Amino acid sequence: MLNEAFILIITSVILFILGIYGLSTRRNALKMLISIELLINAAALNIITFAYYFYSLVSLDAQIFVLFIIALAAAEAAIGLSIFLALHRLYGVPDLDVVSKLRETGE
Amino acid sequence: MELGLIIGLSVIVGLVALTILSGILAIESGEMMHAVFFLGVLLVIIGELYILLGAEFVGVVQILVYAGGVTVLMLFTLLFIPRTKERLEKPFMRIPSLITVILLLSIILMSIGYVSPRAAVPEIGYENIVEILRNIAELLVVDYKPLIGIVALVIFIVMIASAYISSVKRE
Repeated sequence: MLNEAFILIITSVILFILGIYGLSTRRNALKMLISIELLINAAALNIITFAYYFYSLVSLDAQIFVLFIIALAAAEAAIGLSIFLALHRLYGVPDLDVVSKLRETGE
Repeated sequence: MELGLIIGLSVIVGLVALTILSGILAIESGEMMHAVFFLGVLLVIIGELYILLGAEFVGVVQILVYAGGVTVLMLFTLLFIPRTKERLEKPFMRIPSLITVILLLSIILMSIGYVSPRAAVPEIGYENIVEILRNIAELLVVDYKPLIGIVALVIFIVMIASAYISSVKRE
């Protein structure tokens, strides 16, 4: 039972759950961004593992999907970091729970 | 079990242990600079796993774009702001999250136990890598051409949005 595919699938599961844990417990924008990167990398590692062990590598669709995932994750990191900078400039702290512009005031 | 298989399995187990350890440190590290450093370590190791899994091109792109570009972008962003420690959550928020995560992990691991991966690993020689790269390029240019256009449009919009958001000033 202990072969490479099993180990790699468990690794991607653990990375995904670490990402969920970080997203649910952290309020710092950069930590949440790091958690999202963990989620994305877990999904990409899962795709490559399944493509390698369960399907033939002749169809390279999995690798191309992971390339697209990497490109979009880089774009997401860029816009997330600019939001991080804007938060720090507007509120002084890069925490997401201080953002209340979109919240109703309860009047 | 042959010696080569044992060495290969040990390398993968070592890389996987480093991946999980650096992931935990990236989430739990209180200093932001250390968290970004451990994220970079994790991204490099995942790139090496891609290379071991026969996806050499994806592994190189992962190391160049992800571990190089995104990590350095995060480090430069951290250099723009004054150095602050992370404000940690209240403990009662962390314990339910930890319990939920442990439950989720055990459910997923139990469900994985019923799947038995068959190791139908194709043999890949170095002479096939050029062929694989050519096939990737053909697929990207021919079959996935509309998707590349969409991704390029998304990245263009992201550039404009990043410039706009970065120019927001305090009222």
